[in-house]
Amino acid sequence: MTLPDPRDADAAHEAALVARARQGESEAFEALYRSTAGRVFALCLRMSGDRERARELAHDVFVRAWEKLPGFRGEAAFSTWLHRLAVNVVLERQRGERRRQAHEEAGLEEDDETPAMRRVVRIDEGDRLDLEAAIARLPTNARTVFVLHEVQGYRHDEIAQAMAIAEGTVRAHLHRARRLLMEFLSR
Amino acid sequence: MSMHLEWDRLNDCVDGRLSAADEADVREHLAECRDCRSAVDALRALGAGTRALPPAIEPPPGLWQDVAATIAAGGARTGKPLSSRPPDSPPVVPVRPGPSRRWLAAAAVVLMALSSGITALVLRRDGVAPVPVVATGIPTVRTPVAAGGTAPVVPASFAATEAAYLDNLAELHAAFVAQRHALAPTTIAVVERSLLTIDAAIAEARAALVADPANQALAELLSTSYRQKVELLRRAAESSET
Repeated sequence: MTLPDPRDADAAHEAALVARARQGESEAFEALYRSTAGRVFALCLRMSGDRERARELAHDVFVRAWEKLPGFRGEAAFSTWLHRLAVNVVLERQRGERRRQAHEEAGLEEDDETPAMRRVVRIDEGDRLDLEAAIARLPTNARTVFVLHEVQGYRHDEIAQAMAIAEGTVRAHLHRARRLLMEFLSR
Repeated sequence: MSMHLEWDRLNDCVDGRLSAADEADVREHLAECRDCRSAVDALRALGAGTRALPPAIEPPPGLWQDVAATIAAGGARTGKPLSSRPPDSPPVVPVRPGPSRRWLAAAAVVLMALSSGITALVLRRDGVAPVPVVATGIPTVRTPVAAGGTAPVVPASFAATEAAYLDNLAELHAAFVAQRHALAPTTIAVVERSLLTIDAAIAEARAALVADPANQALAELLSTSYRQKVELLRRAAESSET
């Protein structure tokens, strides 16, 4: 006998909630919020590096999700759809601020190498908060690329498309982020 | 042994982005160079540590209440009101059944408790004078305005939320005024007393937040007060329809 996969039940439950939320049931939408808010907030926090800003971003993500829900066709899991939406909301906000951050592009040509690069960095549970804090200290573009690539698993070409920048720039931001993180963590 | 590998090549190695020929060269170098091996190990450790970060982080308390309030007010922050939903969409805030007097009494109790809580919080702070609310007998939907005629500005992080609440409250209040003839005098009296109480609570929390913009607890209290007012007016409007 084959046991039912609990993931199927979860997916069915989520689909039922989505259907009810699409009909305007705020209670169903609240249930969806409860099951996804932690991941959305984590994404917003890591991409923004600021707790208050992350709160505003997460707020906007869920308001936007409610608005767009009638267009959600269920071709991907709701959580996947919401995750993409969250990335877009954060990137839109950052694009609006890009002019102010133009100086970062020049920063890409900073020193290529520091002694920290060649130290072995050990990261265990006790260092988790240090790593979170170090990520928050990264410049915006470097942090965004690092989080999308290393935490969320996006490919270079996907990040380039989402951020409307060249793949080479994505690569430069990623390498810079790693270098800075190693510096921060080795202090 | 050749010079150390460039940082970009070390990263490309870790990311598996080297050509076959390049990868062979890099492997050959790593076999001989302890420093570069250490750098590659560090990069891999950084990646592993990052991937091990918890996928979820508890959001701040009150976030859902703010989301729900903004949705009810029409999505003011994103500039896309819910009226953009298809015409056959049901109402954004589901209409709950039933009228009655019991909710009015309960609302009054909640509002009194809320007001007392805010007052206690505000009075604990030095140098913050509550903004008085003029008791005209007609509940207001406006933010309490100081004697100079201009309301102090709330922190930018709360401004959009407040604007959404005020828009929503203006509509609800207009509906309440238009339908008050359908309500019993005692019901109207309870609603108006409750609104005055919550207006005072809003004024106190708002003044305290203006004086202490970084105080998240005050922002939450102010949001809660606005939310209670929205709910009270909405239920009053529903009551008059039944």
